[in-house]
Amino acid sequence: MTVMIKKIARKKCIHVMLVYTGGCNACDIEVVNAIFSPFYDAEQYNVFLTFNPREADILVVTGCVTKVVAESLRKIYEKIPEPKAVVAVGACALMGGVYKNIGGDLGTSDFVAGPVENIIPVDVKVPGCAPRPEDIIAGIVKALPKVIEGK
Amino acid sequence: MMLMDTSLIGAINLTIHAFLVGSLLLGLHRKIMARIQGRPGPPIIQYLLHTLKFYVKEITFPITAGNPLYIFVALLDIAIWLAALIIAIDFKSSLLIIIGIYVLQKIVEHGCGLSSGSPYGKIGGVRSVFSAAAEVPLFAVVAAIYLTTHSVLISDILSYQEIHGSLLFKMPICAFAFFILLVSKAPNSPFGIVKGKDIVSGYMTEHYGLLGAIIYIAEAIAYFVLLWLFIAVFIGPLVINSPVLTLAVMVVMTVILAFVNGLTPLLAPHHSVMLQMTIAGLVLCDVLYRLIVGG
Repeated sequence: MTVMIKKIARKKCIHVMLVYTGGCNACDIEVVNAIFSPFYDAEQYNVFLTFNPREADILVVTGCVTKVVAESLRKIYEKIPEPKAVVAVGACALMGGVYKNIGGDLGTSDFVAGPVENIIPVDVKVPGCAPRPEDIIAGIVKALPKVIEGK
Repeated sequence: MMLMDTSLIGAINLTIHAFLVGSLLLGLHRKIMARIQGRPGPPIIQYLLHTLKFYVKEITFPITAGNPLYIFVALLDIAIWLAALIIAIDFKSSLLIIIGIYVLQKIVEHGCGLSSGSPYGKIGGVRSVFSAAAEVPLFAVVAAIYLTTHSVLISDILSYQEIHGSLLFKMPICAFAFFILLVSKAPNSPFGIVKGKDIVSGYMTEHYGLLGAIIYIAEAIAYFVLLWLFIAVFIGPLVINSPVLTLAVMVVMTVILAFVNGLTPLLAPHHSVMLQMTIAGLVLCDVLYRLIVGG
């Protein structure tokens, strides 16, 4: 009975927090201006955007994770109460993208600490540059079981 | 005589009723705001689901939290609004006690900000102190009501309205000031600087999980109590004596509040305080007029 109530409560109320860690902002635009805009309106499916890590259930990370932001990202992750999941969105978050090799023949960038899984554990990866909104939604949905079932 | 009519069972029923109705009204509020923005929005039951979700989240405490106060302010919040609920609706007692409780709400907001150790919470708490201007209209409104009805007891005010009709149009400035109070209490309010998105979640930034759920319950009850007070004091016993009519008017008022909040931007802190002080000035003028002219 208690477990069932927990699952219902969590399933019907998902808070997503978006963290930008460097890059060109295209993935952020896809997340905020598409998924949470009137066109897709994730709120009608009980998914809400928050910028308070204490409220978040799913952490959506975009960008290549520059060294100056790596520690902040780790702190944000630690502040989110369990159960939680992490969705890495975009080529930069998955591999570093163009920024990882911004030096070209001169070698890898020395200001990029990414990809995201080097900093915090990643549960779902959404490829694309930038990913389509439908793919990001699919990624968040794929992360739901971990949040609903708990660890 | 009033005391004999109340009972523990009645108070518990009233509490559950207030929480459920308050939650659904707040959910309706959010639904309407979403519709104004041209999208379906969350279901009306969502506020209840929010409360339930936070209730079952992991319980931890920030390393910077001052734990006794950190926990106490959340319990104080629900305690004061339960008290307001019972004093206003069950006992129909003095408006001055309700005002005292609303002042305590400021202490809760400030206490939340201070106890968590979060800089965002602290800013929210400080803004709450700046927003103390919101209390001045309350005192002035009660003073004006006293000058008209010669009593601050809700039961006496209801009796007065049975004989002389609704206060809504006899005291339009006071009704407007109280309505602005309702606006500031509703979510996503232009006066909502204490929980502005520019400071994460304001004074509630570090009150999450179980404590957050407790505060959400308190806010649902607060919303119900304030709506009930407005209806009782300014619309009168014709509506308030019928629970169904009261609920209907609450829904209408929630729709109005949702439109106001959905169509107005968040004010800058100094604009918010300045506007509230202006309204306080308006009500003070009304009080002075009633004092001088009489009745």
